[in-house]
Amino acid sequence: MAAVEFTRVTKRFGTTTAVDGLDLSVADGEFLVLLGPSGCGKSTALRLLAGLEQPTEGTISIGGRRVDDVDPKDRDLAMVFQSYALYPHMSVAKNIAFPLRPRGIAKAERARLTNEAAEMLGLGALLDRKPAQLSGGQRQRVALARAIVRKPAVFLMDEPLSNLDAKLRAQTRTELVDLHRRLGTTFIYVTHDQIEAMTMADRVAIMEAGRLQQVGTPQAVYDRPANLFVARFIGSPPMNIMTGVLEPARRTVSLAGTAIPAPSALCERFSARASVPVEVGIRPEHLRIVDPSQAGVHITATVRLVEALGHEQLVHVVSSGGTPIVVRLPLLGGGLPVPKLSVDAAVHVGLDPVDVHLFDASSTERLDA
Amino acid sequence: MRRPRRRRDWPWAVVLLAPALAAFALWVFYPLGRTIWLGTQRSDPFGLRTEYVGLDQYREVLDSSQFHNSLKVTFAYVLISVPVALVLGLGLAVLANTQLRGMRFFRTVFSSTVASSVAVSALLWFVLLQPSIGVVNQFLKSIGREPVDLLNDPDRALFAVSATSVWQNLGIVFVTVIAGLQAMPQELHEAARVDGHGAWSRFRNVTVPMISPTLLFTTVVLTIRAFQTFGEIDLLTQGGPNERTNVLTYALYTTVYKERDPGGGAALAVVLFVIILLLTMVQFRFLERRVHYAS
Repeated sequence: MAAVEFTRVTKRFGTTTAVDGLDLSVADGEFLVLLGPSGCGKSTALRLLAGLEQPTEGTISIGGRRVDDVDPKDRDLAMVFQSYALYPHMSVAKNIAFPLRPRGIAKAERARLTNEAAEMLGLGALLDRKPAQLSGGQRQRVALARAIVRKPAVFLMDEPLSNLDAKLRAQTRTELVDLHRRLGTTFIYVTHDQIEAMTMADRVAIMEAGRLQQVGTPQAVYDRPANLFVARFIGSPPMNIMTGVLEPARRTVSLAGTAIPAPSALCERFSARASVPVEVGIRPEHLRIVDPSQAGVHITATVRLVEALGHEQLVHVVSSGGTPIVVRLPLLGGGLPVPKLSVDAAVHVGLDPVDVHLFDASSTERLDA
Repeated sequence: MRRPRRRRDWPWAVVLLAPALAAFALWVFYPLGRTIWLGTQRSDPFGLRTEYVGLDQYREVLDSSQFHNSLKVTFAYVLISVPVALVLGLGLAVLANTQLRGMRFFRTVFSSTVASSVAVSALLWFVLLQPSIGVVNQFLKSIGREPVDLLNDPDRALFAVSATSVWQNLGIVFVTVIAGLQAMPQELHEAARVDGHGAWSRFRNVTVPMISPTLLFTTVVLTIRAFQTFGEIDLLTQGGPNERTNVLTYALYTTVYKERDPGGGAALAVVLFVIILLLTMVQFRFLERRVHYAS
């Protein structure tokens, strides 16, 4: 078990900067998910930690030990690859036992540890098979068994679920969380899938263009995204972003043909300016279709499309100002009527000012940080 | 009543196979049959067929001391040249399969002997090994050793000829092995590194099994080529000194063209064919067990 620390880590490939000044601490026993779109540098960060790439600048330490000059084989890590990287010429048992062989463990002990890891992942009956004779899910388990067999200080996982079908992925997510709980070891898990991040992580580190955007618990990054990128990236369907103007003197933010009260702290901060261009974010699930007579902030809009998903409806509307907005209407059951909205119908979209996120239009950073 | 599909299809099968069968018949089966038949015919001193002797001539070939010597020389030649070419070519391929600046240059150099003919490589080595002006002896002289005429030294000539063949075969081994190495997923190496395996262990436990089909193919091809070596021997030693490099193909050539005995030569050719066939079968039988084919 060990904590992991990235300090000002930069990795350049030629003129491309894959990881740009990464500062990140992972606590001992934590399940940290590195989340971001493809090409954001999350896999490179993991490979730097594994020692498969050398940082251009900065240092990495594992369990308090600087590992910059330590070979991958001496870092006491285990890694699960996206492709699983099973050795096709070895049986399941030999694949699992492979990390034990260089460690001078006696044969009988190797067999015992192999069986233990295999049992833990329900592979007991498959030990004599070759990887080609296994299903995708079974291969994935063999890769996990190979990782846990020698009880490393840190587990690294690079998109381990992306080759599984949706049902198996959901099942394996819960199993991974359970495995983490049982082993109590540090897990660093790379994915582009926010569901995986939200469901498994103790903390999520969101990366984009080689830079760390935000680190926090899944709920924290959802509730208070640090910038526009995180706001758009976390949540499905993504947060609605509308262009608005903060007018400190009038204590309002005007957007999409309406005005909402502005937080007073922000008005104080920008009191010297007549207007501040802002991006206004609000999640689809925080919007409602309301009756015009109802009090509160309304945006008048026209329905463009209704997607019925059974448990909810996604209502795509365009505001009178021309901004596309998605409203998510949960269908709660209990005999409540299913709203019937027809295309081109005029509607009022209601929102609560406390659900509004404000971002600086030029820096894209959260304003009420 | 419908005829079974298989019976209905066979005329088409014959038609479609006919061109290939005709080519095989003309260039493979007929010459092979003709050679076997020729081995049953005694030749007179002018090289003309005289009488049918059945298997007698085959028996004579198998009993002759020349055949025994040639068999020994050929096996020695194969056992020296094939493993050395294989190990050196594999080593060079592994070294050249790294992502270093300028590696393309070395890859070109190492594979270049593929494009050189036997005559060129024999001549090159003839000059290198030449007793008075050759680089090898220049080097020996410079370190204060006596010059040696390797190609005329009965104890060393076979090694000198084998060196030529190793050099000649290095290119083909290099090219096939590096192709195998580059087809191998990089992640297997990375997984083994993270799993704690050093360079040698990765080579032995991951690289070699992964390229084993390539290695089997290369071994079989090199062995067949070594059994059929003729050019190097003819250009460098003509089977000498003292018959010490008189491999089976060269003995066959002298039997037919110097001794004017096409019947005896044919018998020897058939024996060589059977030896190569059996050996290739044995190689497949025993080596294939250790080969992993990707599925």
